[in-house]
Amino acid sequence: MDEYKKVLKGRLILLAICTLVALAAVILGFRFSEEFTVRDSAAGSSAGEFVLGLFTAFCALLLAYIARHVRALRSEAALKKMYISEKDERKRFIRQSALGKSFFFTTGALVVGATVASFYNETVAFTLIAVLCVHTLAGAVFKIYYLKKY
Amino acid sequence: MKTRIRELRKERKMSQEELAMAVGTTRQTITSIEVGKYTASLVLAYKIAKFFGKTIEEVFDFSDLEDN
Repeated sequence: MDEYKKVLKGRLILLAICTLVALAAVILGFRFSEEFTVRDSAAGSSAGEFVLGLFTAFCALLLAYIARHVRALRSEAALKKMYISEKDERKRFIRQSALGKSFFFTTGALVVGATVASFYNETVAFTLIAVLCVHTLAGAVFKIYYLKKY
Repeated sequence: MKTRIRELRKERKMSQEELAMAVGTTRQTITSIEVGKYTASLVLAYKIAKFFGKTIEEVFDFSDLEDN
């Protein structure tokens, strides 16, 4: 368990850095969104605003993960529960069957792509956002299917 | 795959959660193994069998495999 505690502490530092970067992106995004966003249509909302929302949700998710890790580091029972949940072979099998190894890489690449595209071309950004939504939805559907199956 | 986990667990008046914690897995995994939805890995099968003080063959029914 001591080894796992070290892993969690390392992960906590990484999560904190990611949260700070995401928070900075959100704050800068809100501050300078009008100057940098490209609007193809006069009335429509920009893709940049959607990406900003995505980053805000990402921040909330990271904070929830940080809270979970802190709770696990403070209590032995929570630590054991988290360890078992992470190492559980059935969960790993389901994750591998439903999402594979490339899922998180592809999702990350789509988020980066959509973020960059939102500064230059709204059509490309919205296309990437649509692909991201379908990709995530398909992952969720497959995960539910395999959770029911096994 | 059929198993005797539920029977052995009941004999010892244990809950799925207690067994899961003892062998280092989740309650859901124990449930899935008991109902035959999920086949445990060799490592988990060994841990479960060892916990009950039995051999793997005494806990897990391999008759389906022997038929093939």
